[in-house]
Amino acid sequence: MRQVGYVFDLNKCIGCHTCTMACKQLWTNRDGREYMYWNNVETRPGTGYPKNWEQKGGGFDEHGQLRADGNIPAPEAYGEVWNYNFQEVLLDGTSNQVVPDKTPTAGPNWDEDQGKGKYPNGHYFYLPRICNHCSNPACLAACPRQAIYKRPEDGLVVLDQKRCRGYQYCVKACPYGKVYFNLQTGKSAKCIGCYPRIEKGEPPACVKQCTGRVRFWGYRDDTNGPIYKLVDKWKVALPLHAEYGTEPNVFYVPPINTTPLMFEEDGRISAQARIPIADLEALFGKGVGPALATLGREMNKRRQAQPSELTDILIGYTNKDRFAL
Amino acid sequence: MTANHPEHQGFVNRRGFIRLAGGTVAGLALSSKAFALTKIEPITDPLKGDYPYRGWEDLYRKEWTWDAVGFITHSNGCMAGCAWNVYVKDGIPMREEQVAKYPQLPGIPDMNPRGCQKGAVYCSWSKQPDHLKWPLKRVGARGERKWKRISWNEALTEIADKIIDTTLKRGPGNILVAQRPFAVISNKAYGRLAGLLGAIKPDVSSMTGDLYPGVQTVRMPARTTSTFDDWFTSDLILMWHINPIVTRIPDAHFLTEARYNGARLVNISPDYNPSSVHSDLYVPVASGTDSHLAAAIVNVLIAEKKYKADYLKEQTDLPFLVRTDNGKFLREKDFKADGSDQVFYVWDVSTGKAVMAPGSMGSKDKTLKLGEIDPALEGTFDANGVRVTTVFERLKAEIAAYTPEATQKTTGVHPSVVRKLAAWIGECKALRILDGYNNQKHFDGFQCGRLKILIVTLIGHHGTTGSYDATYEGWKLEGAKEIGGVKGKPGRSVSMVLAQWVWGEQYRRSKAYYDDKQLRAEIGFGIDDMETLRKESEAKGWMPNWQSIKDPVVYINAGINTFATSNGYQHLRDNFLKRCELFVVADFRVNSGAMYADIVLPVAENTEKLDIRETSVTRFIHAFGQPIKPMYERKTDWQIGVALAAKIQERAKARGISRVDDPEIKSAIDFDKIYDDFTMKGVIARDEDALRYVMEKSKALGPGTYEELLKNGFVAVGPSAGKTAPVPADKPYRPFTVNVTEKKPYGTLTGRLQFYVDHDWFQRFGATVPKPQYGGGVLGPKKYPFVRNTPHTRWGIHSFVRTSEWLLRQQRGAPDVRMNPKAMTAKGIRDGDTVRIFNSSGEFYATAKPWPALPENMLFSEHGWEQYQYKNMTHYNMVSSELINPLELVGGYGHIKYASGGYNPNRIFHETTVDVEKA
Repeated sequence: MRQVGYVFDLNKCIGCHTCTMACKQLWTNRDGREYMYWNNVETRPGTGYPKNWEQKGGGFDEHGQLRADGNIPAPEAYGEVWNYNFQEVLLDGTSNQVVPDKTPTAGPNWDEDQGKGKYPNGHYFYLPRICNHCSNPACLAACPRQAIYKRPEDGLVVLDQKRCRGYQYCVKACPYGKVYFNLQTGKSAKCIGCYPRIEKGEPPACVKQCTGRVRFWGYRDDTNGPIYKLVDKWKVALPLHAEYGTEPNVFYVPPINTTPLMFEEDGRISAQARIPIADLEALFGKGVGPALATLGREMNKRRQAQPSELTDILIGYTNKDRFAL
Repeated sequence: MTANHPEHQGFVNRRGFIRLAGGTVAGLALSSKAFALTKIEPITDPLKGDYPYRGWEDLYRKEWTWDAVGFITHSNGCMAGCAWNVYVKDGIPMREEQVAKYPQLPGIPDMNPRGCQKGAVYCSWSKQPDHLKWPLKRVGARGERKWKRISWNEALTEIADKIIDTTLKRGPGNILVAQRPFAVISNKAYGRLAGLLGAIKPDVSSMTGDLYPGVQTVRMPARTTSTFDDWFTSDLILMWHINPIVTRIPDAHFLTEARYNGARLVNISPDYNPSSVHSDLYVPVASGTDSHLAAAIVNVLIAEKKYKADYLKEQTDLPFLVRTDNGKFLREKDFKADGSDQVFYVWDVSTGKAVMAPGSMGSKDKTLKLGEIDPALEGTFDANGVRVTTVFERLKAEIAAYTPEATQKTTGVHPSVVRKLAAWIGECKALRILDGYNNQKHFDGFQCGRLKILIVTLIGHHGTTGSYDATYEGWKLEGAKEIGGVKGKPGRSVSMVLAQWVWGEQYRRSKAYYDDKQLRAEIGFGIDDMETLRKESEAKGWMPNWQSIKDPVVYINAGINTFATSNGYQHLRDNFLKRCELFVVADFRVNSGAMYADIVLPVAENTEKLDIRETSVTRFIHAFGQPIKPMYERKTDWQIGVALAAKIQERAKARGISRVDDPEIKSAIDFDKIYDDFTMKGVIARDEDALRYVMEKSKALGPGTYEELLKNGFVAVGPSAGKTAPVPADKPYRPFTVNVTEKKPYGTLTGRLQFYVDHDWFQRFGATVPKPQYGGGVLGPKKYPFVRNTPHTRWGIHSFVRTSEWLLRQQRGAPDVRMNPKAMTAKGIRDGDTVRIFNSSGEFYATAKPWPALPENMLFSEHGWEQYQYKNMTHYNMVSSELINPLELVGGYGHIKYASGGYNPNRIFHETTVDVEKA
């Protein structure tokens, strides 16, 4: 089996949500999928989407057994798809304020930019998330219908919309909250890795349309491709919550945690890190320290006008450099 | 819920959601009756890809299909331009995706894929019910939003007759036509019409506060920039009064990639915004004190001699001689009665004499080359009996007080931070300052702009390795200029700030809000003085006076959200509209201003127009490729211009009206020939003809480019497109390089980058050299403890797509105001509370959201929300009150004179103070 992989460089992510909208307009703006964000971008530190997904349970235990604690996030955790009264306000003159048809209390990006810390020493960064197309998918393992499978040609984890009976074991089992339930069709649904596109030689929409050029995409076994180089060679790209045991195929270059420089109480520059390393390790594991050290070393080389393969890869000059088809 | 909204069909209501999402039990119940498979093949291991039922995969394959693809760009209010494909199914534009086929320049990351989330949702947005379908006429009171559908013929006839009647009754010039910004022929349609009608043409940049008048005193033109791929070539980038990670989404990667290429990024801002996050250094400057920070940097660069003397001697006026007795430049006329007042002197060290500097406006030598002259930067001299010193000496003396230590109490920035930044500036090889539009919306923006460009200049990077980038400029397209007006029919240009100061009675509003005594103490003059100075400027002929002698009796507003882009929404609207008898809004949707229109004209959507967007953000001209023809009864802007011109001509002929003389502007209005003039006797009547005309008559484009544009969605400009330097074929564009390489003068009075202005008013207001104009910070009454901040948003381009449901769902669904959590606690405000933001000039309501990234004294609400999204039809601009900086009223001084889009009063309101309470 071949496996595609993704690397998302968090130092390039600008939180613009072009990826989210690209996916939304292509796959989920209709037919009961409206509330689903197969691709979402969440602010960290923060509660994420669906809200508090890291507490939803699922995945595998240390013995490789499916954990039984997985639950189905409540509708409020996803945020509801509220609608607006434009016609009444603007064209009929029967109402005086364009407002959502229900009072919003949650949404996929509810705590945007909030982060934590005290001015001017706070911090926040963006975490774009899709289905991890895991090598050991908990959703697949949990499905009693065996309606979830990995495609041999690309390793994408897909959910058969014909065989699915809507039991939602997959929704419970995915520790990333990335399987959804379609109320209109009564079936579960998830990111499909844009297989119709990659079959035609086009990278997934969220990847190709990423205007921050955060996303790298290609086959894991392509030793000349960016995924292999960033994950296996330079080891600067790390899986999210590897401890869930699903072996994700989406990897993240962690955010540089020492800049912008911090301030002492009196306004002087302080040597303290802006993002505590432990917070990053909680997401990306113990590889964070070495990855950031490598990144810092290579960036420093560039500052001294020396060449660096790593920074050149991360710059990703052209589509061809970022996407290895 | 709106039943006619395609995306709402099939929506499951809340009750259904809860019933079905109740977990496995509900899932089982639902699916139990669906077990109807007759034959089941064994699935051995789905993990290994042994899956026999893959036929279902066609389901999603079929969803990624379309009938036709066309090109589009968006750009209403956006300085960028991006090439997108539109996928059309059954005649409906379904979705867009960036074309992403721009060529790469050697060694520079390419621009693929350009575009943001706002472009990505455009197709969905354009199907919302707030988008117009046919002409509407008001049947209720203004603002009541009671409409009747009328025909184009009815609409145009009423407008045409009113234009003719107003001109006959009130005289020419009582018609105001605001031009839709950005798309070329859409914009020119209204400009051309305005010229032919002798109408008033407001400076939209002044209205929105997007001018750089301070920088315009230094170089001509002020508002210019590198193409944004040039960011990659910098090794130090200061983002100052700009938050490009949020507001320049398609180009932000050049920042993160420049950083990977060795550059340092610095963000200077009171709020720890998303651009700060990506920086090496964040400088938390107190709001409105940036000129003091800039002065401190200049102070260090001069004190530590980090400036490049050779460059300054040749490229700037810093060695120019200034009389010590009256502070005026030493001029030729000081020595000869018939001498020029536009010829200046430097002190030649080698001959020990004052010698004429070449390259000034009055100089016969149109070069910066100094030849044998070695000008002194410093010293005091005797020039034939006149005591003189240099501009640099004056600057040094004035800036000496602004040390990092002395400015700390104003800016809140520790001296060690300023010194670190100054050291980085001193050692870098390619400095770039990105200066945003928020600079000039501050009272001290005028002087702050001059100081920022001085920083780039002192180290010799302006026009060489670095740049001072003032957002963007348009490319030079002769064809566009040609169709934008008709010879001999100039129309009437005004500063929109001054027009609204008078027609919108902003003067009265500002006077009621500000404490004149406090203002006089802090900045040296009050609101009454501003009014007196405005009148003085008009009387001297420095600023146009149309606002004082005309009224906007007919107001045709195309594409500008007319009261939202200003201050004091209701006040402005009521006073403006009481002078207006027919208010026409031409737009593709009901923006806030359209609510108050007498007639609303439906304009073609971005997907329905044939046009181009040209801006120097990239070297590419982008296509509105008309992937579909206008739906319903929409017309393109150009066709609205054509139709209105035709109707005016028809009505004039029917009524026996021909020429009306317009001696005030030495012109005439030819009502009976206006269609012939507008269309060049039919030559440019069709959109395609007008666009071809523009492209083929422009040197930087030319024959064949129209075809190329429609084939690729974009086309690159040739070298002549650059206004201040050629566009190189293999490198990013950078402005003002020819002034250094070819020693070409800068278009200023002195011909150099000019840092000294000896105009009487500059002397009067203590602003001859760049230095802070006042003590800095808020200027509103001190009883209001907060400063408001309404910067550009990630989620809209001004109000463009601000009502997109998909984008609103990524926010909190309604206008929010962000506050520092500690300030919230102090005010008893919790996350999600509705709050009232107020001062004596107005109020608005919003939902509170905590943001630790703010200083405690700031209320932050990203702009672009529509008035109708607020409770009680309030608006965030209702609390802002504006000021006029008299320096921006100056004219009659070489290059410092009224210019639409260049020099006139900018909208200044960031020093307003407010308070907040739980509603």
